[in-house]
Amino acid sequence: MKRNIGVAALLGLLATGLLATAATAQCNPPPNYPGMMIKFDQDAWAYETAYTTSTFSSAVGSQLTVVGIASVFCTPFLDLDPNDPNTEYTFIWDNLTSLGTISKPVGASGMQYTTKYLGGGFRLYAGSPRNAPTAAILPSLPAPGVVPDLYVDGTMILQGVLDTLTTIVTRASNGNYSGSFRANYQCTGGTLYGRVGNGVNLLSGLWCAVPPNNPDPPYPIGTCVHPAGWSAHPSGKWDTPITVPVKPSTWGTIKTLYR
Amino acid sequence: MMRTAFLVLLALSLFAVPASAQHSCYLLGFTGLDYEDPNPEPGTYLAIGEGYKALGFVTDFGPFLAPWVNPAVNEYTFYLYDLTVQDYYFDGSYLEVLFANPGRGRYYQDSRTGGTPALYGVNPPNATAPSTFTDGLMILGGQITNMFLTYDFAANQGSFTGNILFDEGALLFAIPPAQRDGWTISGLAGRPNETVPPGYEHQLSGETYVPGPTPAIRRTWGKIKSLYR
Repeated sequence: MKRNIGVAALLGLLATGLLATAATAQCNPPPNYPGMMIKFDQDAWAYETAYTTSTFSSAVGSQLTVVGIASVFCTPFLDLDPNDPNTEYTFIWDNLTSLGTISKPVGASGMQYTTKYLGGGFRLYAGSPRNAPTAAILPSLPAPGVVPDLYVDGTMILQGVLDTLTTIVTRASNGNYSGSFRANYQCTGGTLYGRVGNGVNLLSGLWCAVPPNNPDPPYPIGTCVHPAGWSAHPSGKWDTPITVPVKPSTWGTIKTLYR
Repeated sequence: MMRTAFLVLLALSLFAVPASAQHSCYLLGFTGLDYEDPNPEPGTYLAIGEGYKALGFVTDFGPFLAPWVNPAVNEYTFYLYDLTVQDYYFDGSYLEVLFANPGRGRYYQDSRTGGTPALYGVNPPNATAPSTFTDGLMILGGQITNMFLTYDFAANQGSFTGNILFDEGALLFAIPPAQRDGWTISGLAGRPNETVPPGYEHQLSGETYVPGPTPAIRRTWGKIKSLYR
């Protein structure tokens, strides 16, 4: 009986390990380096109160909001399943005040559009049912009762502040576009704050601006078409701060738990 | 009567009018690291003639590939290579390079139980990079053209964009032939950056797209009739 229980427990542990492994491959950081903590891919979008799509320009004082759905969880959130059919993990970045867009010629014939936003924060929620719009059903803005409402329902599991968020959109000399965003973040609260602590690390990734005539063509390479009212599609991650504890173990240690 | 029937048939056949441009279809998302190789001028980042490589993990799949992949069972990786700097512009803080055509991008599937976990290591190329990112089954690959990379050294961030024409791989069939001329874009986050080990330059987070299906343009019945008066 004891041996059977031990085998059953071991199989249970192995199954849990396999489920965690589904996420851990993407989470695999270089040795002794922090990796990504939370990632978001296709389901994240930005909108502002005063943004001109034709010139990629944010007015001074414009309020930026980003909403989205998490796609990958790594340490210390490996137990969270972004594909859980009953729970969705959504987030919002808000209270980001624009200092205005600085545009300048770059390269042979390109343009660079740089915008800095101050004073922002973020919140991550675990909510049920899954009701936040995904990329497939993204509404035009405004969408009262939907945006940002359905991205801020449920239990707030993580909350924090952002220092300067910088977005850079570049039209290269070949007419194609690219973009990025970068900020430092620090967690300050939420039901799972204890797993993270108050360490600082990067929130960064791709910033894909909507095309100048969005949602109408043309659609230059490197821009992201979205329904009217949205300004960009970010895709990126929170990296793990140094305050996240790591507890390595060995297979032998795990086996002794079940002898 | 016959004229009316003819016009109805004509309208039905003409209703789907190709638009001059197409929406995009999300193919996949990724995260990774990039490095120079070869790097004959270590003092100059991406000097003319130097090579650019990027590798990492696929973190998300769009509707074309989702039915054919299983992240619970397999690890998915990518590798961009054969990208050689052809044009170089640097004004003291802004860098823009264009890469010679063509480069190549490939995406791989490797079993979590029978395969080798992908490991970045340090100072690539090394014993595990890119080899552990290019083992297993090559599910998708394509020729990269018109790739450019920009980097703002004052902001410590940059990005790249390139066209990718998919032409190989076990899952090539999953993308309709008319939609295989896609593009790949990524943000870059450089130092200071705790996640970037020695020998690598930037952390990547990006996506790959293919063109959406040809959309129809709405027309009124009056407009269609006017074509044949």
